[in-house]
Amino acid sequence: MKSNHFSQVLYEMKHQPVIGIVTVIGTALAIFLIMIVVMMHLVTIVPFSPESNRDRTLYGKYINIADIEGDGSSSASMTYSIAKRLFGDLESAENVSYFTDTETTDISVVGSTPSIRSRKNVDSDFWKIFDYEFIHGRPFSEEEFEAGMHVAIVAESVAREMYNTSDVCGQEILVTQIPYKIVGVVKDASPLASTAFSDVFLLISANDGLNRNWSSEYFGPYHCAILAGSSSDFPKIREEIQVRKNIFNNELAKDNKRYVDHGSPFIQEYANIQYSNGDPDTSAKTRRYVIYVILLIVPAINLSSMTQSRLRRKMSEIGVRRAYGCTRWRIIKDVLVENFIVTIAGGILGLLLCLFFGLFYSDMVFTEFATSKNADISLSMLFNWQVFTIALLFCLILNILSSGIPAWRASRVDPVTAINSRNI
Amino acid sequence: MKRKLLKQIRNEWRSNTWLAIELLIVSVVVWYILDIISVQTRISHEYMGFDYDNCYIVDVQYKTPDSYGYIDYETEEGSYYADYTELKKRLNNLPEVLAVGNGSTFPFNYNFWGQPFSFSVPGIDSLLHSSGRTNRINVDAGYIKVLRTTGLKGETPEQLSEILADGKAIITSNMAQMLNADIDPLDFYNSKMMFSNDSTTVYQVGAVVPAIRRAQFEPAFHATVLLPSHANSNLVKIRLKDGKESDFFHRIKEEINSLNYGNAYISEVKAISQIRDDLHRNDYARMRNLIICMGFLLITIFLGLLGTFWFRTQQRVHEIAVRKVTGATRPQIFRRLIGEGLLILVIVTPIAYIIDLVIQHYDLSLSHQFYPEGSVVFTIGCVLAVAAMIALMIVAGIYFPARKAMDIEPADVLRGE
Repeated sequence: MKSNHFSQVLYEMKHQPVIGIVTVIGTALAIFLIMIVVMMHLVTIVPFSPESNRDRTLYGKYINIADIEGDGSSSASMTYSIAKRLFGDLESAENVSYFTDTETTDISVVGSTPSIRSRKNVDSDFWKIFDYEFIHGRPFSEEEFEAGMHVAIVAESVAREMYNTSDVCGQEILVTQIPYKIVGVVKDASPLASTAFSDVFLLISANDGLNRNWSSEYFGPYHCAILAGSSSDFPKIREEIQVRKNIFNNELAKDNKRYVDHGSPFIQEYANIQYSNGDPDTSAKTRRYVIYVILLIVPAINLSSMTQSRLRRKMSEIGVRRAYGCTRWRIIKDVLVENFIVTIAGGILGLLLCLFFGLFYSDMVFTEFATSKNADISLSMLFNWQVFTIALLFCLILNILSSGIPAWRASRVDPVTAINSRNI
Repeated sequence: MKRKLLKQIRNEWRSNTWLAIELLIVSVVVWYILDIISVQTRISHEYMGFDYDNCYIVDVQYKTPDSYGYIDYETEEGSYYADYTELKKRLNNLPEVLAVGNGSTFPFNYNFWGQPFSFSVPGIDSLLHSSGRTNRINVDAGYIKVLRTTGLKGETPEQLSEILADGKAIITSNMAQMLNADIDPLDFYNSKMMFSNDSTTVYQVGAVVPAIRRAQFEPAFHATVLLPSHANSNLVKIRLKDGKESDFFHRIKEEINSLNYGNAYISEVKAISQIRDDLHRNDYARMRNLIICMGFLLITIFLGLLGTFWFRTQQRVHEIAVRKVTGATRPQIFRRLIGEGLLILVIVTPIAYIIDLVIQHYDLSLSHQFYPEGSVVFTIGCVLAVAAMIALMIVAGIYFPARKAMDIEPADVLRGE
């Protein structure tokens, strides 16, 4: 990219301000909408606290037990013993944690009106996989887990609501009117942390103990997360799990049953779209691609039409350049580069608009993840090298789509015709 | 005029072909979006089968032996059911409360407790069996009074409540469809109803009410049977007297300790309208996103036409000047430019309609799925609405270049000729 490309673009902008503005706005709008769709997807997969280890975590959420002969099939989350048997104590994994879904529950202090908040039951290893920031106190200890103690870790907002201060360690909180001693206070997480988010954490071993099952030897309230040293360890972990699955299946076969894993445990992207009794639903991915294509093609046709018109005005110039020995490839390159500068300008504007909306209208953009509290987005969650690369890639595609054909046609023009300024 | 327009379009065939392709894509996509929005809006405005304004759900929970202030029934007199009944009575005694009731489900959730039923209808000899599962809701007499359901014969909620108190069942008007029978809903009055797998328990149908829907964006798929019961789910439904809702949340917080009884305590109070909004959060977001997408495509057309015609008028400045000199008026020049865009739209719209019909043929449109009987007319309406919207964008997009063209001074332009 040479300085004369910029001069050329500036000259055009100066002499055709309406076209320049229309081109930049059109590009900005397209990139804005595309990047909103991209970000809505990225927040479900990129790592951020307390799910900073998303890229090296596998999730085992459900099991599906089906009849070997016949149509019978049951599926749900697991009992603690089944989860541990399939995914626990893996040699290739750094850590494994067991926890329940996040559910709403009433919390209060003695004599106060209950408030509805989210609750999650976890084990003591949960805090080694999900990096919650502790403001006061500490995570659950191994001893508390083994003893099934009535202890709680609460989010800062809960501490302030109940006691008007964040330092509430040692205080008591009633969860469904059952008293728990607060041992830790963590910074509030965003509900976009779909696995780890909760306002109140209790031990899975408290109350009914770990043997909670739903009148079934297989199905209970537990999911698990498996932390690997790095994603390159996933195949080894899967191999280890496969051996356990085979043993489990051999036992089930005696009762005419089999375990259908549907590919579990899953990486972050598929953990969110996993069904208990089927393969992950990838239709959202297809829909997303259709949206990208529509959002790219329609503005590209517009921009292409404008590039074509702009080149018509430069026909004599192109003709003279060709007559003096300029190659066709050089003409194509120059048109593409000049157009790319305008596309990048529009793209940056679109990306900035997208970040602005993502940050300040996060509840609107990320509605599907919203709970009683707002989506709580930070710039680091929205903007990273991945977002920048994707935006650049879409700009490049838009540029090639919108100026590829006009550039190719301009390069093929006969110099004599072009100098005579006949229409191409 | 038309011939000249066509010639003009032909002269600019390359750029007009791109324009036509763009209009075609946008026509089809906007039609598809409009089809979804129209169908969803139509469904959402259909009668729910009940009235939930001023209605709340009180979540009643029970203390366990681990709980603070737990009462042990082995040492003290009482039971969970007695505590629940007393708490419900206390709610009923609140001055702003008009009715209290309970049922095995609550409005705006996708709960389905299905069972096949059989009917013995007066005047029909054979027993009629439902083809699929009928949604069953166990309700107490107060449930109907809370949700203000009315009967097809004009029964008031109070009268329906008495029918339930007499042990009779209430069914919805779409039951005949479940039975695959051509029966007037009113003929179900006084028919006998039993579970298909248990003919010993027989209910008399005391009333028929309009179809009850589970959610705002879902049509009434299943017929519903309301069976009289001492429903004691955790979610107690209450209706407030008119005008009493504004300070209700505040008051119930103040009164909460005097309402709780024994091991039963109020965990949460939520307006049913809030439950509706929570359930449909994603549906509302989807509708909003579709509208934004539609707006984006229309704006894109506007920008595209603005840019393209801006160039065209610049290129045709001599031609326009000559036309003005030969007597063309400002409106004529305006019409010529606008006409070019609109004519392309007129050519493109029938092609878009054919593509829309193909999409419908493969059952990919919502209107065809939900309202197959009127989907062709509905599609034509949508296609015309889309064409009108795009026409508006064409007029807006070409307006500025056209105005510029009208302001051309022939003397200035043709001075060099």
